[in-house]
Order: sequence, then structure tokens, then C-alpha cells
Amino acid sequence: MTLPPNPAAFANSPVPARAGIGLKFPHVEAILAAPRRVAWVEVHAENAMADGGPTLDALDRVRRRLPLSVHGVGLSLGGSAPLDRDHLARLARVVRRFNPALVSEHLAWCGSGGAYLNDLLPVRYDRRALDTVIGHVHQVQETLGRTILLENPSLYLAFAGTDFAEPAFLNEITARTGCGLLLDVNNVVVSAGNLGFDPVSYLNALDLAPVGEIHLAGHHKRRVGDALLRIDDHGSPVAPETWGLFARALARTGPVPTLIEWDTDVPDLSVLLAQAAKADRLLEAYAHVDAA
Amino acid sequence: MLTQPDLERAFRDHILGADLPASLLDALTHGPVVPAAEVLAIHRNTFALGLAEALGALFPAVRAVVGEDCFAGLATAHARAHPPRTPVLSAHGDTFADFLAAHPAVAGLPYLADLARLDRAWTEAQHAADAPPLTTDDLCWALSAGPVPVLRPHPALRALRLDHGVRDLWHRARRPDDDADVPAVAPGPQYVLVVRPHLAVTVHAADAGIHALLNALAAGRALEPVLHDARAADPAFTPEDTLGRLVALGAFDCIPQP
Repeated sequence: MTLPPNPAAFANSPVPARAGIGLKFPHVEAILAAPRRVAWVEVHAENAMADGGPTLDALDRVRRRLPLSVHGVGLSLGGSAPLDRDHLARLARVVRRFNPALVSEHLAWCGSGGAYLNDLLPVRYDRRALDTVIGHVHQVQETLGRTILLENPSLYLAFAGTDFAEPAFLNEITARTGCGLLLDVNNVVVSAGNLGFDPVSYLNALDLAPVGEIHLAGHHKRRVGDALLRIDDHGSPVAPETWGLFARALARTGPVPTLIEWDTDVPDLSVLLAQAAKADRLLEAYAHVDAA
Repeated sequence: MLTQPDLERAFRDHILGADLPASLLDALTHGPVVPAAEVLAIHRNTFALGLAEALGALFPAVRAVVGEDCFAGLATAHARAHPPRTPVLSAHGDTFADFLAAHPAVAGLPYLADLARLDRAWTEAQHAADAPPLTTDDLCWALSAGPVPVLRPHPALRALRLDHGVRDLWHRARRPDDDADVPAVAPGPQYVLVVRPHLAVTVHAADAGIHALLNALAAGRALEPVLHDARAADPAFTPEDTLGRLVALGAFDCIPQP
């Protein structure tokens, strides 16, 4: 694979199949001082939901130099309630202003009765939830006039009375809405550890053709009695088992835009860039693979 | 079996502080690696700690004055009593000042709510719509060009009347690394302007006359009667000085050119 010689030349173009980083506002000036070190960035949609001011100004400046992905955390696509039209309108406004190459959201719900719970909460994978999520994804895609990527969740508990395992649930959604998949490899490792399933079998059951982006992040491990609980805190380097599963996914997908997420105890930019460089080495190693 | 909406309500109520309902435990599979109650505590923590951190970033002066631990307790109590209505967390905390004013744990700090009002006004100004501020040249041109123009406050302007004189304390509390003495709270009321004509928010002293004038203009009243009222209220009022200072601060929106 020939790497793009100068990511700045690729601003306003698709996100390259290289490793980008989650954009943290304290890093903006350092990134802009030498943007060629960064292949692309991803910003949380909600952080760009302002009427004006320095946050949007910083994003405008980053956008002029680097390809951008917008990642929503608050639409509650997996909730039983109708989508919050005001919030969807805010997302549409962000997408219009920044024209990102990728737009993504989560398979989760995050509010009930008008209260926003500041979390990505688990969906019970039954037929009714499937229809609800599919309806919500259609609504978002119609409103935005483009397809979105849907991210697999990190889970701590599982529901009784489900009709689908998560890969089958996601396969149905991608097949019936045309949406893409944001494969969060760290989330697979976290969920597999917490719920006791095999992460490789999970990947094998998942249709990877719709994967348009991969997320990598670290998670926190805590002993609870005899058990090991994995907490998806995005506060440390990517774990060895996550790198391993990432390589397995790449062996099927070939190079895919890959994001290093780091959201708590955010370190110096150089730490994020070193993680991205490590991901880039794996992306190059699988450059010969044609997409699944 | 709980329906999905029932499940979400049970989850929500538990996150907001209710005991763990048996119906929610029954809806979960038995056999995951860690007991469900332990795991539900993670979601509770994500809500409480996540919002305490978000609120701390939005109310740094309040946090600096009460300390991290006290702030975390207040923020968690506030989040449970007034959960956010939107995922846009910069909007969270519009009820925090009133919450503090009524909270018995901080009754000994009656000025805390005013610090919160100033923190809140700073955040609102930070995220308000951008607009080129009215310049002195614009104003002179408008005054010479015809009828007295309508002056509209800049979208980022916030004019506050505080019960306590906390402006100096607020400035100091927003600079935790400063080793200057902590200023005392002055007797109130105190009038304050928060402006952001371009990208940087700044905070300035005002007085009752300026406060009344800006509120009248914000309500859409024409400039001439507003200046007339200001002179009636304060014989020493000089429109040139006051308008000149407000224009220099970037307090007004530009006048649309015909």
C-alpha cells in the first residue's frame, strides 16, 4: 500500500484507510502546528453542537487540514422512544457545517422519559428492538441524506429472552438499512470478557463487508471476586488481546480507517500518535487483503 | 417479562438512585462473569462520575471554592435531581445555580449561587452564535445616516445582576494556579457583563444603569427612549461615554446595512 504522502492534501476527501486519532481540544494547536503527523481525526458530534464560538472555530481550522469523522453518542438509536428530533436536527447541522467523510452512532440507548443518562446502555436483542433500531437508522439516514456507520457496544450484562446474538442482530441491521458498521474491536474484547463469549467466534459470525471504520481503545480491568471485569474507559493504551483481534479483523477486511480513542486521562498527543503508528504498521501488513 | 420501555424505565430509575428492582434482575441472564448488581453499579457510576466531571468543567469557580470532594457530592445530587435533558452536556447545569441556592449543605456560602451564575454565563457566551460586533465607526455611520438605529445586544452578551459581589473572587477561582490572595466577597448587588465579541470570553464591571439599558435594548426597545429613561434615572448618565464603552467591549450586534 502506498501511504498518502501528505494528509493535508486529502482534507475534504474520504478518510484514508490509516490510523486516525480522537480529537481532543487541548491537542488542536499541536495538531495544526504539524498536521502531516495525523492521518485523520474524529470528533464527538455533541462536542460540535454549539451555535458558535472557539470550539467550532477550532474544528473549522482542523477541518481545513484533515479528513474528519463525526461520531455521535446521544441519538439513542437503540431506545424504544422515538428519536429526539431536536437532537437529530443538531446532528444534521453539524454534518452540514463540517461535511465529514464519516458519520457514526451507537447501537445503544441513552435516555428515558426525557432524561439523558450520559451512558451507552444495552439493548435487548429481540425482534421488536430490531425493528425499532432499523426504523431509527432509516430515519437518521434519510434526515442526513447519507449512510451512517453503526458501532457495536461494550456490554457488562446480557438480557434473557433475546432472539438474536449480537452479530446476527448487527447483520440484520446492516443488510436491511444499508448502513455501515463501525467495528469497535475493544468493545468486542470487553463484552466477550464480561459476558463470557469467544471474541473470535463473534467476529466469524459478523458480516464484515459493511465495516467502514474500526475503533481501538484501552480498557480497565478490575477484579471482582474471582472474576475479571473489563471496563470500557478509553483511558489506557490498546490492550494486547485487542491488537490481536484487530489483526484477525484486518485479515478479512483489508485496511480500513482505524481510530485510536482515548477519552479519560487523555495523555500527550505524542502518546496517541505512537498508538496510531502501531495501528498503521498492522494496516500496512494487511494491505494485500482485498475487502471481504 | 418487562417490555423494552419498562426495562429502560427500571434502568433509568436505578441509575437515578432507586433501589435495584427485582424485575430488572429477572430480565437479565444469570451466568455472566460478574454479578448483575455489581455491573449495574458501573452504569450508576458512569452517570454520577461522568456528570460530576462534566459539571466541574462547566463550573470551575464553584468547584475551586468548595473543593473537589464537596463538588462531586453536589454535582451527583444535582444530576439525580435534575438529569440532563439533552446529550449536549454544555447545556447541562442551567438549573445548578438555583439548586445550590436551595441546598442546605452549602447554606453557609450564600454567594455560591452567584459564582455558578457567572460560570454559567461564561459557558453560554462561549457557545453563543458568532456575529461581528458593532464598531464605533459603524455606530457613527448609522447615527449620521438617518433615523436613530435599533441597537441589539451581541448574541454572546450576558448582563447579570448578582446578589453578592463575587466578580473578583470568580476571576481568582478560575485561575487555580494563581497565588494571589483570595479576594473577599463585596456587598451586593453587583452588575456584571460577560462578552465574547470574537473568540475570547471576558467579564467586566457594570452598573444598574447599564444593566437596565441593555435589558431594555434586549427587549427590542428603540435607542432614543431607552437613553431618555437612563437620563431620567441618573442625571449623571452620559450616553456618549456609556455607549462608547459598551461598543468598545463588543456588547452590540452589528447593524444590518441597508
